[in-house]
Amino acid sequence: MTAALPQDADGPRARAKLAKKWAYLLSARTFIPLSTPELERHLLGLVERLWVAVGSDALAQKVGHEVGGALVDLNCTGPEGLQCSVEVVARGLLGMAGDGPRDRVVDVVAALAAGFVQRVKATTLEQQEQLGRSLYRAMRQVQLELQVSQSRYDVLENGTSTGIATADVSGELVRVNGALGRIVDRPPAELTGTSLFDLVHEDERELLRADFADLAAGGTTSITQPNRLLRADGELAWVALTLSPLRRHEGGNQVVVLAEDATDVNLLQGQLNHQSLHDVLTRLPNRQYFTSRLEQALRDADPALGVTVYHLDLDGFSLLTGGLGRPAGDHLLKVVGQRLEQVVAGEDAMVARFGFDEFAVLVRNSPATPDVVTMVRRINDKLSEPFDVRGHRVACSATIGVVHRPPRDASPHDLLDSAALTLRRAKGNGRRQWELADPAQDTRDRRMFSLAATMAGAWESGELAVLYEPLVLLSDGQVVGGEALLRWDHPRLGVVPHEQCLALAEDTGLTVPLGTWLLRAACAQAAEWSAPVRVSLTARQAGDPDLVGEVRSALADTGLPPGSLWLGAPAEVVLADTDAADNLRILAEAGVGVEVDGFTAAPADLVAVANFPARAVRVHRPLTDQPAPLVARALAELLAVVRSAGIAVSVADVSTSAQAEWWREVGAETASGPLFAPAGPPEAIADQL
Amino acid sequence: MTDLDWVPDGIDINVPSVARTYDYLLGGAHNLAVDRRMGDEMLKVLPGARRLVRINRAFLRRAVTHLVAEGVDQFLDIGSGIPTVGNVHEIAPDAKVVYVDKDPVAVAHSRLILSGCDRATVVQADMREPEDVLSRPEVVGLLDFDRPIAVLMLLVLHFSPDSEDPVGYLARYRDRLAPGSALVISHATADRRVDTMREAAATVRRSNSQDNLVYRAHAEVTELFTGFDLVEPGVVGVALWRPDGMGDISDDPDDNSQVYVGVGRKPGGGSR
Repeated sequence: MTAALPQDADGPRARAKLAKKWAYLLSARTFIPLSTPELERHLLGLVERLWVAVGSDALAQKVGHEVGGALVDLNCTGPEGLQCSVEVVARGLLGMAGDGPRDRVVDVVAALAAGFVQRVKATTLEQQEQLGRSLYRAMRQVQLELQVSQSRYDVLENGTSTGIATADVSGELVRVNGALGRIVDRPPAELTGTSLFDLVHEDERELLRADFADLAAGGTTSITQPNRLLRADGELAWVALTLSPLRRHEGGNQVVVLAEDATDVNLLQGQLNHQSLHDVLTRLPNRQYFTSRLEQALRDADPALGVTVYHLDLDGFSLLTGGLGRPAGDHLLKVVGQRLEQVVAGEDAMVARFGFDEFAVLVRNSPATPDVVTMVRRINDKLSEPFDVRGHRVACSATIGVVHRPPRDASPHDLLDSAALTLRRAKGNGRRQWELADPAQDTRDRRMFSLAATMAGAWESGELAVLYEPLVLLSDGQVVGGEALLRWDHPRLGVVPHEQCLALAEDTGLTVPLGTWLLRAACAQAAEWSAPVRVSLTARQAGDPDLVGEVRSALADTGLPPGSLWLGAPAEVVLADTDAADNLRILAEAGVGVEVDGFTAAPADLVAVANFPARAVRVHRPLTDQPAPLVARALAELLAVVRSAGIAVSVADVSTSAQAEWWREVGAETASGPLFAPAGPPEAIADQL
Repeated sequence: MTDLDWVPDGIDINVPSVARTYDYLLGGAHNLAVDRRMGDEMLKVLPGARRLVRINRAFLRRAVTHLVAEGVDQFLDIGSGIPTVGNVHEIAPDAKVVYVDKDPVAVAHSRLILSGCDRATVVQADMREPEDVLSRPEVVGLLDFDRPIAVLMLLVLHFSPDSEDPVGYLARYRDRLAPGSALVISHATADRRVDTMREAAATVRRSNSQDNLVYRAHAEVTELFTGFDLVEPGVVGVALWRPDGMGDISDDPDDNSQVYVGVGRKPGGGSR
């Protein structure tokens, strides 16, 4: 039974209008991968088919079903799409059917809904199945890759002579290969569960722990260093240990430990090669490597810009190792090396370790290279950032000698000598100082150093003598004693005077033994004279922990009464809270006459000296020179205060009789200087006593 | 002695995947309960999420259609996700297309869909490593770098924080492309609906997804096109880029600008 459909001319237009409306509503609700005209065309096709179906019992069910499925194929899969489709299609078809087959419209729309649901269900199941398959494939792929890398790893782990272990963040070994077992002479199974640190020589544990902690806390770079492992038989195994971080998606991070047996011939060879050019601790190039690189750089650096060499010495490094121990010092050196490399990271540069606490940096200058002042500041700024070492916050600074743009034909050795001399000069100015090389200064320094280097030999061969400068009582011009002074009769350079002898001794570490020798000679001489002798101590001598013992034994051995030994020491150490002050206080209490050298009568000194059991204070030039009347009056009053505390006043460098007269008037006790007889052999004094 | 107590990113079925959640919001069934949970959470915070996904997908179609009309016939779709409907190789039936995603499931799925299609392929790689992406045999085998290529980065760059330097790695893509090549970006913003978008990002973060949302302002999205000439109308809300039907826009005006889009051309080449 086929009912007639209206076949008027408005039919196609009505259907096109329906398709347009349907497209409009549908595309606002669901994503359809077609442009609007395409979608309208597509839906018009469906409308035409539905319209035909409305006119045919045989087709109604089938076409409705197919159109429902076609909607799903357009990616209209949600309830909103279905709802709006049913509404718009049902209304449209009913409108067009007029009084026609309204029941069949209902049939068609019902079939559309059924077809839609059926296709959604099928599509969902199909997509879920596809997803399952994709998941499986992805997983399988990863497993395959994993199996390959796992079996590669197994082959590697079992076949290699390198010890391999995996440790958790606490250092506990969770996996150990046979080679590591062989290196330490223990079964691998026995090693798992034990601590990596227990396996390492005691002296190296701290450092290893620090490195390990770096990695466990997120460090990313591998760390290689020589270590000694403890073997079951009590022997040590030398290895190169490499620690590498292992990041894991789940569970904690781990650290992979590689132990290359350093007794292995090849490795040893490689290490020797490396070590002959590198410092073992910091793994930086050594002096030899640096020198050859310097030679090359001098040759082929841009002539207009040249090279710059920085020679660094860490300030107070011995204090740090003394206080915190050698491993702390080693750690510091490694950090310094790394930091220097960071400072010059942007330059064509090399950082080397020269020795104990000395480093060097060679920069091949480019137009962008910062100037020397900036570079020095960057170095010290970087070094002064504190870091942790064995639970202490530590920072450091360096003193730096700089050779900037040396001539291209300079020899690398001369250049490094010049850098070292400059560094020494800078050190003379204190910590965190720096200086530029100065060729004229270098020549002078070089002469001084060669002199210093021969001093010990000269002393042994008797070129050094003790002379005595008379000390005169200002009240009556009598000689009361002598001041012991050093003199070096150098066969080539002539006489080297006392002050320069002391400066040379400071440079070569001879101060204390030479000073002791001078002290004993002076005491023996004074005992012979039965008159006081004066000995001036340098700051270093005055602070020497053995000073009290040396003085006591010199006095005991020579029989000189303590009151006949007048010991002078620089005001800045006597009047401060120093070891030297403690030493001198003990000696003063034992009866030795302690004199404060270089007294200035400054208010702070005045207070300090009043509280110190000094025998005398001694003034030097320029204070010795007769002062202007106004100052003279004030000075006279200040000295009266000193004298009223029971402390005598002594004056050195007196060169005119007017000076002597003035000082006598203000109550000075003894004097010395060019006005009186020069320093001479002990007999000269004995005659005047 | 095996160490299989881990699952690579994207295969852990307890962690939602951005690609599969997108598929869910687009009406697909290539997703798991955990993805649908994240999608539903997202819908709670941002009820317009389905509309956003719909108009973004519609933008992809317009951008590709535009470029095809301009003569571009090679596409590198980075962050392509699960190929449900309206994929580039379907929109551009004569073009060569390489899909790139880091999600192993999305890649396995794409491979399944693309089997038998010799002008489209898929690569598992990380977009942040241009040298790796651009040197893969699938990429150099299918695409001709002497001719213009369109790089599509739809709804992916907002998973890349500034710390990864997206401007920097985009420049490395650009340097390898011939003049006339194109860059297509769509990128979520919090320039409007600030609180809602913050909550949306928090939802993603809470879901333990591998990827987290980083919104960018208009100027920042524009900066991503450094070295490209923007095609009219520039960087605009997704629905405002050359719309041509109801399917391209949303009733809610905020939706229409919730995602910035743009198409840039590398200067120097002629266009048809």
